[in-house]
Parts: sequence; structure tokens; C-alpha cells
Amino acid sequence: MADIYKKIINKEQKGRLVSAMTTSQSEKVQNIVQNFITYFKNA
Amino acid sequence: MKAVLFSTDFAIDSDGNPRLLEVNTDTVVYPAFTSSLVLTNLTDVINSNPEITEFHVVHKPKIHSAFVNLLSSSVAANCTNIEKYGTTEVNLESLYPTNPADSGSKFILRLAYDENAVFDSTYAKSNFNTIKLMYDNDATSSIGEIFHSSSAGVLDTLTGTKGSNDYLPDYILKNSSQPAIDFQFYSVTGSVSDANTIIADAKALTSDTTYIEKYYYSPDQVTNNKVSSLRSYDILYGTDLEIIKLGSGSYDAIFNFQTGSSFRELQTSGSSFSSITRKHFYEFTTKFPQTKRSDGLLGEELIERPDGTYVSASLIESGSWVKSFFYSGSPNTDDMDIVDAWSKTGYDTPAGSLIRSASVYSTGSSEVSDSGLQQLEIEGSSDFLNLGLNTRVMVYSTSSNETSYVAAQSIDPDDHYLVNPISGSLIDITQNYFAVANSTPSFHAIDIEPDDIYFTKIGGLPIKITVTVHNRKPE
Repeated sequence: MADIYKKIINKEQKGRLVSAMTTSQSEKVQNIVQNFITYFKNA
Repeated sequence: MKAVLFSTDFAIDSDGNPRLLEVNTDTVVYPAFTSSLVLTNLTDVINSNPEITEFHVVHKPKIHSAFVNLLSSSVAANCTNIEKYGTTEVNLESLYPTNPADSGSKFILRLAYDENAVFDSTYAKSNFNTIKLMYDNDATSSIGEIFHSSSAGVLDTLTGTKGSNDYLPDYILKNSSQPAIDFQFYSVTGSVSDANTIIADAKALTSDTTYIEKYYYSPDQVTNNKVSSLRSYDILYGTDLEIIKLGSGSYDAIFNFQTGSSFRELQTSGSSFSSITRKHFYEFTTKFPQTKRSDGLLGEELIERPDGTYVSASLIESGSWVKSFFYSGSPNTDDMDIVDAWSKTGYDTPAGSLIRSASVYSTGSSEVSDSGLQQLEIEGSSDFLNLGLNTRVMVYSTSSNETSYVAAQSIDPDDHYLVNPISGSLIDITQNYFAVANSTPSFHAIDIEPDDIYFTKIGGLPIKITVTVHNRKPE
């Protein structure tokens, strides 16, 4: 018998809920994405 | 006009600031993110270019079909100029998709990975290259503290701090030379606080093929001992490489992290750093289960021999024989894209099929560093079938009335039954679990000829339950 540490019903791990970012986080994330693309363009 | 879908993942530091971890193409838009999508941001761009009359998607049906359906519905509803909707389907394991010719009248959105595209092959493929690009542009507050030294350069922003939680890591060692999730988590011993000692010991763990990063988490976003991270989905398009924001959100780790025994007490001799076992991977990261190298059976599982006896998957040898099955109409190939594309109506065994014996042409085993595996449970059994996430099992789908090979991670007990082609019967699957082993599991794959399917069983039952498994050339 396999030595299992933890397990979860497959559908539950696939169905993890997503919550909205805060406005501040969303702005910061988008800023980093934009910067990355700018650096990529210039690379 | 060409475009590519990509996602970016971020850790959240103690001040709530995102720290870029990686960029992904070939990315899956998970159902949980559907409600966050603003597809009108895409259709607005299409509508702002009235010369565009064709929308074309290059995608992998196995992982992108749900998102492609959303796209097509949104474009149909919102883009009156679009007269033609086209798709190019790409095999799951393809690295070089065939892209349609670009023109001013087309909007070509690529969802599939393309090794020929620098964005994919340099940055999506290598987290290190992504981090280094940010570092080289002085965007160090947007990435984690890092140290790496090789001919590629020196990245050095470690400040020698450690986290405030005894039950989470302080640093992660990552591979810089290839795409991998071979993360090694480390904790700094509780009594050590000297920054120079921490920096020196962190650097000592690296080589020219690895880099070490600080581990970040936000106490504000830890709920029920589950860490969370951020993901953003965006589209890069046009010759000016503009961005369309599609959606984003925060999501939790699969498992909560354990408390009760501080990792900081596990000091390694001669270093302030202690390594943490990999079974915690899905507690410390929010990653979805990794499928690379996860193919075959756990070593203790049994493979049926021609005489009806069984041999452990870990003990089977090249040149030996197993019971096999010639399934008339099923593709005789080891190409998984062809195997995945095959299906037949119903679950009856086709005429001309027969039990045979096959020679084991080659064997192989692979460790999965995340310790993840899939467990199938059958009613009445006290044991499970333990197999890799990508192992193809013959199942019958009640919703589609089709028999096909389905990767273990995608088996749905509410829809799928195991198929025994010998008896032509179905076997009810009680549950399918994603599990993490205490020690790093090895999956054993065999390549058999001339047939491609063999049998294993789920133990603990008074009767033998046959599970039909498609073979795979060991990597």
C-alpha cells in the first residue's frame, strides 16, 4: 500500500476557487506585466 | 495580426506586493478563472481594426477546448466584422505548431506553445531567463531576492532575512538550466539571524545551474494555513507587442501547511539552512499538479503475466512477457497524441479483438519531484491503484457514450467507468484522488510489442479487477 502523506478528491483540487485581487494588487500586477513586455521588446 | 495568450504568476510578499515568479505560454485557463475573464477587452481590439474579418485560434484541444469555446462565443456575439472563424488544432505534446499565414485581415491567437517563438522558448520555457530579464532592467522589487552565479551572469540581491513563519520555508533553490519544478525548499535555523551568515549559506547551496530565491508569502492572505498566489492572463498582440488584459485572480495552495513542528529545528550540520522534504510542495506552492514524467505505475502495482500471475511494475524486465490485448480498431502506436485522439462508440469489445502476449521491449522509471500521484478507488477495494497523472487508462464515458484512453488525472468517477475488454464489462470507479506520497515516488513505464495495452489490477478485492493501461515508451 502506497505511503501517502495527503490526498484530496481530484475534482476538489481542480475546482479550487479564485478570488479577486485587491485593486492595488491588480494594478501592481499589470504594471509588472507591462514592464516585462517592455523589457522583452527591448531585449 | 498575430497574438499569443500568456499567464504570469506572482508570489505575494509580506507587504502585499506581487513578486513575479514565471511567465507561461501553452497556459490553461482553469475553470475557476472563467468568471474573472473580460473577453470584451479582446473583442474591443478586434473591433477597433475593421479590416480584420477572420478570427483564428491555434490551440491544443486537450487543454484549451473550454477556453476556445468561450472565445468563439464572445467573438460571435461581439465582433460583427468577423466573417470567418478558424482553428488549428495542435497535438498535446507538439512543440512546433503549424501557424496559419499572417495577414492584415486575420487575428491569429495562439494558445499552443511554439519553440520557434522567442517569447516561448526563452522566457516561458525558463523562469530564470524571465527573472534575469527583470533583474537586468533593475526591476528587482518586482522579483524575489535572488542569487545566481554562472557564465550567464551574477544576480545578487539577497539581504539575508528569513520569514516570520516557522512552518513555511525561507528560501527555494531552483534549476536555472532547464524548465523544471525541481524546487528544493529550505528553512533557516531558528537561532540564526545574522544576515551575512544567511547570505553565505544561501549562496553555498547554489551552482552554475541553480539559483536561490527568497520564499514569499503574505500573512494577510494565508487562510486556514493555505498560502495563496496571484495569476494574470493576458494576450500579447501585434507588431508593437501590445497587451490585452483578460483576467486575473488569487488562488490557494491545494493543501494547507502543517504546524506543530518547526522546520527551523531541522538544522543541517555545517549550515544554517535545513532542507524540507518535497512532500510539502503543494503546501508551499499554488501550482496545479505537475504531469511531466508522471507516467506509468507505482512500483508496487502489479502487471499481469500471460499465465495470470502478476509481477510488480518495479521488477518487470525487458524481454519478459505480459498479458496483452489486441483491441481491434485501437491505434497501434506509442504516439500519445494519436492514442488520445482515438475513441469508439460504446464499450463493447470489437470483433477481431483477442487476448495475446506481448514482449516487454523496454522498461523505465522516473521520479516525480513533487511527489504527486493519482489514486483510483473501486467500490469494495481496501486498496487503490496508484499511478502517474498522465498514465492512459481505458475508460468508458457515459456522457459521450465513447470508450477512449484518458489520463489518470482526468478520470471523472461521475462519468467514467473502467473497461475490461476481455469480458466486455464496465467497472465502477468510486473515487479518483490526487495524492502526495511521503517519499518521492517512481513511476514505472513499459513499452510492449506487438500490442500496446496491458493489464494491472486493484488489490484488496476478492475478485480481480482488471485495469487496462496503454503502454508508453519510457523517457
